[in-house]
Amino acid sequence: MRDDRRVPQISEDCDPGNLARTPAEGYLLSRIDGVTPWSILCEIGGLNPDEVDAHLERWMHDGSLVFQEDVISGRAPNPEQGRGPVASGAHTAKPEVDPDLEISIERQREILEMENRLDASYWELLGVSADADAKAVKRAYFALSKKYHPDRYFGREIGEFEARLTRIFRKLVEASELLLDPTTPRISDPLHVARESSTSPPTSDPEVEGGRAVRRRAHLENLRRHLRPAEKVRLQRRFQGVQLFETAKLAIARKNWCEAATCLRLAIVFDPQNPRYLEAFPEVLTRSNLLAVEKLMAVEPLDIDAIRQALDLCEEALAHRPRDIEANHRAAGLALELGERELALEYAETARVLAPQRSDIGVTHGRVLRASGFTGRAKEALQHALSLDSENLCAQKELAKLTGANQGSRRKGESWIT
Amino acid sequence: MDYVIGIDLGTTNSCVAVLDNGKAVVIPNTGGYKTSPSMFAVSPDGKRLVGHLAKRQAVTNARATVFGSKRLIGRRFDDPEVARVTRYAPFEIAHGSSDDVRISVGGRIFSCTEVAAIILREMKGVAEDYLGQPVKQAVVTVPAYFNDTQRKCTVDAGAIAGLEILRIINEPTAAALAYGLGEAREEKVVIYDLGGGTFDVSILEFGDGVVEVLATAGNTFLGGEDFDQRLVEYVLQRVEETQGLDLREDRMALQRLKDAVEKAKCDLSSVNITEINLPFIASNENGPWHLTLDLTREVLESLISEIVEQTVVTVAQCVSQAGLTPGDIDHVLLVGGQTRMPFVQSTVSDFFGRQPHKGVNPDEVVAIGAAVQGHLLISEERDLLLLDVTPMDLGIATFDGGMAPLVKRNTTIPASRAHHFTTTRDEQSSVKIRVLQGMSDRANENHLLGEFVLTDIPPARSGEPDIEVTFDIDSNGIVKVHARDVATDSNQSITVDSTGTLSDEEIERITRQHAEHVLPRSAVD
Repeated sequence: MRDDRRVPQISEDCDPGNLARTPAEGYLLSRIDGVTPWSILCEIGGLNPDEVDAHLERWMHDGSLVFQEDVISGRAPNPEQGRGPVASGAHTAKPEVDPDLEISIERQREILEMENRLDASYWELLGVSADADAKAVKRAYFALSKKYHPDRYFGREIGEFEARLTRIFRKLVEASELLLDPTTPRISDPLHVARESSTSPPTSDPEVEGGRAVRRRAHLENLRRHLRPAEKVRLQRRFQGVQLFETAKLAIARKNWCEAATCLRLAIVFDPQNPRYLEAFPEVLTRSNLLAVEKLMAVEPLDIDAIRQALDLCEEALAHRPRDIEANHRAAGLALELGERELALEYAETARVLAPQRSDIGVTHGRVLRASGFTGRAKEALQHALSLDSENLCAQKELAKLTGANQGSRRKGESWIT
Repeated sequence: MDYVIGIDLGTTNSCVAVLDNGKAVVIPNTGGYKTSPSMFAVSPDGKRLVGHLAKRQAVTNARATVFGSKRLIGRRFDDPEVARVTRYAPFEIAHGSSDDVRISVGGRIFSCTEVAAIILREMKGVAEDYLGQPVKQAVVTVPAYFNDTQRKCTVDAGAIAGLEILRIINEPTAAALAYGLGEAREEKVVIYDLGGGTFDVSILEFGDGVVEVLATAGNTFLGGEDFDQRLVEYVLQRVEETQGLDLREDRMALQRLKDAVEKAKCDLSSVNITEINLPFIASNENGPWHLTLDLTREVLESLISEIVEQTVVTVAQCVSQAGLTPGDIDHVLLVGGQTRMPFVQSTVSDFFGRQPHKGVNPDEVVAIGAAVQGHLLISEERDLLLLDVTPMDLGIATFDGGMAPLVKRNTTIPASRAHHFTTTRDEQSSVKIRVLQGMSDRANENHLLGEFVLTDIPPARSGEPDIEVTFDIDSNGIVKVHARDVATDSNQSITVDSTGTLSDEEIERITRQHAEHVLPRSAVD
C-alpha cells in the first residue's frame, strides 16, 4: 500500500470523533484531509508505516474511509465529495430558530444569516464599499455592533445564540480593526489586485509592501473560500508551524542554534511554503551546523570519519547559504585535512573573496595554496595575512615553513605557477 | 421594579447611584453625604463601623481602622507596592494563605476582599434606604488598570455583600457613559481619572449610540494618597529638622497628621496658603508640643509636580496607542477628586491645548456611569452600547523567563485567543502553563494570574499531542482558560491554581459569617 496514490477521505456519514482510540489514530485522522494520498500518510509524523496501513485498512473496511477519484488519472475530484472531516461535521445539525428563547424569531434568523456570512470579505461583512473611509467603516462597525453585541441580550435566555453573537462580534472587531488599519490601502477588488500586482517585480517600497500585505490577505481569503475541505487541517498545521517557529525564535534569542535549527526544520515540514521560515532557516542551519562541526573537532583523537562528517555538515550549510564566510572557511580546512585539494581551494578562494580582511582566512588560504603546490601565491596570501595581523602566529609559522620548503624546491614551485 | 445600582468603590471614598425614571440620582447616605469614606473599623467594644462612623474615630482608634485597602486588593504579599502601603498604614498587615494581603483588625484577620465586601454592603444599604426596597444587583467600577485577580476579588466581594455583580466596568469608561448619557454625537474624548489611589486615562470614541474605548493606560498605584504621603513626609522632615522630634513611630500622631495634610491639600485648591494646626501632637522635655505650620500652594505643587508629570507621560502614551495626536481630541474630561487641584487641571489643559470639560462632578460621575451601564444591561430600550478593552497584555511565561503575549492590550472585549501546546518529552502526561498579565517582556515583572496544569495527556511521542488552550477575556475583563485535545476533539482536563484570591469555600464561609453580622450603618449628625 505504500506506493498507493489513492487519496483517502473520511466518509460523509462518519463522525471522526468515534474513530480515534489512541493518540496515534487521532494524529493520523487529523492528517486525512482529502488531499494527502495514502503513500504520503505512511511517511508522515513518525508513525510506523505498517501501523498506518493497518489503521487505514480497518477504517476502509468499516466504511469510515472512502477514496477520492484516482488523482493520477487526472480526473478532477468531485467538489461535493471533497469535504474533509470539518465540513461533514459542520452540517450534521442545521441550526434552527427556537420560539422559546427570549429573542424574536426575526432576530434569530438575522443572526443565523449573519453567522453564515462570516466567511465573506471584511468589506462585505461590514457592508461597506472597498473604498470606504475610516469614518464610514467605523459607522458600519458601530451599527452592526449595536445589533450583534452579546450585551444586547444580557440577562435573557437566548440559548446558543449567545455563542453565535460572540462569534459574530469578534469577527466584526477583526474586520473593523483591519479596515481601519492605516497601512491597509483602499482597493476595489482584492482578488483583482492580487492578479494585477503578481506580475510586478519585488520591491521594498513601503507602499508596495502594504499592497503585498493586502494581496496576502486576499490570497488567504481566496483560499478560505475555495479550499474549504482542507482548511482546518491546513490551519492546524500552520498553527503547529507557528508554534515551532516561536520556539525557534526564542532559541535564536538565546543563541541555542541547534534547537533553533531543529524547530525550524519541523516548522518547514508543517508549513513548507511559509517565507518567514524559509528565510530564517539558512542562517540558523549554518550556525547550528558550524557548532556541531566544532564539537566534532573537539573530540580527541580526531578520526577521518569525524572530519568527513564535519565536512558534510559544512556542505549542507553551504547548500543553503553558499556565501557564508565561516562555513566556507571551515569547509576549506576540512577538505584540506581530507586531501581534497580542489575542493579546499574552491572553498578557501570563496572565503577569501568574501572576507578579504580576515587574517585567519588568509592563513587557511595560504595553507591550501601551499598544499596545492602554488607556493608563490601561498606566500603572497600568508604575507597578506600577516600584514592584516602582524601577531598572527599561524601565519608566521606557515610562512616560515614555506620559506624553508621553498629553499629546496623553489624552481619546481615557480614552474607550477607558469 | 428591580433596580440595578452603580457603585464607585473608591480608594478613599465610595459612591452609589441609580437610574430612576431615566434620571441619574447619586444617593446620599443617612448623613446627607453623597460619598462615604471607604473605611472600616472595629471599635474597642467589638462593633464594626463603616464609612463616616469609621472615619470619625480613626484618630483615636488608628490601629483598628482600615483605609485604602483597595490599594492592596488582589495583590500578592511580596508585591513591592504592598510594602509602600505597609510603611504608612497604622493598621497591621498580614500574609494570607493564598499569598494575598490580609489585614488584622480587632483581633480578627480580614482579607481585602472582605473589607471591600463590607464597604459594598454599606453602599447597598444606602441605596436600599433611599429606594425603600431590597437591592440585589449592581454594576461596580474598578480602575481600568485593574488586572484579572483584582477584578475577580471585586466580584467575590460583591457575592459576600449579597450583591450580584452584573458587570465590572472601568472607572474612566463609566465616567464617559455618564458624560455621554442620552446624547448622540461623534467625537473623541479623553478621560483623565486621578482618584485617591489610582490613576487611569482612557480615550473613547462616541458614535451613534456606541461608546468605544480606543485605548487605556494607567497606574493602580498613583493617586491623591501619594500627594498626601509626600506632604506627610515633608511635614515629618520639617518637624525633625526644627524640633528634633521623630513622629514616624507614633501611629496616632501619623493618623492625625494624615488627616490634617489631606484637609490642607483640599484647602489649597481654593486658597494660596493654609495652616496645619495639630495641638498636643507630641511632647518633649518642655512638656507638650503643638504643631503649627504654614503650607503654601507653591510648596504643595513643588512636592507633587513630579507625580503629575508622570501622569502626563502616561496620557501621551495612551494617545499614541489610540493612533491619535493630542489635536484629534474633541473633549477632555477630568474625573476623580484629585483633579480639583488647579495644578493638575492646568497641566492637563496645557498638554491638550484645550480647557477640560466642566459640568461633571468628578466625585460622582463614575457611580452615575455605573448606574447607566446597569440600566443599559437590564432595561428594554438598549440604546447605548459600551465597547471596552483589556488594559494589559495577557500572555504565558516562556521557559526562558519571558512572556509571550496572546491577547494584546487595548483589544476589544469580550476577546478570545487560542494557543497550541505540545509536549517536549515522550510519554509526557502534563504541561504546566503560567498565565501572566502586565506590560513587561519579562515574566517576573508581570502579574501571575495563575498556574494551569494540563493533565492526563494521552501518552505519545514528544511534539505529537496538540492541545489547544483558549484564553477568553469576558466583558468584565476576567480571564477564563479551557483546553481541548485537537486530535481527539475532547476536552482536556485543566487544573487552575490562581494566586491572590479566596477559594470558593472561603467565600461561602465568609458570606455566611457576614450575613450573620448585621452592620450598623453610618449615621452622621
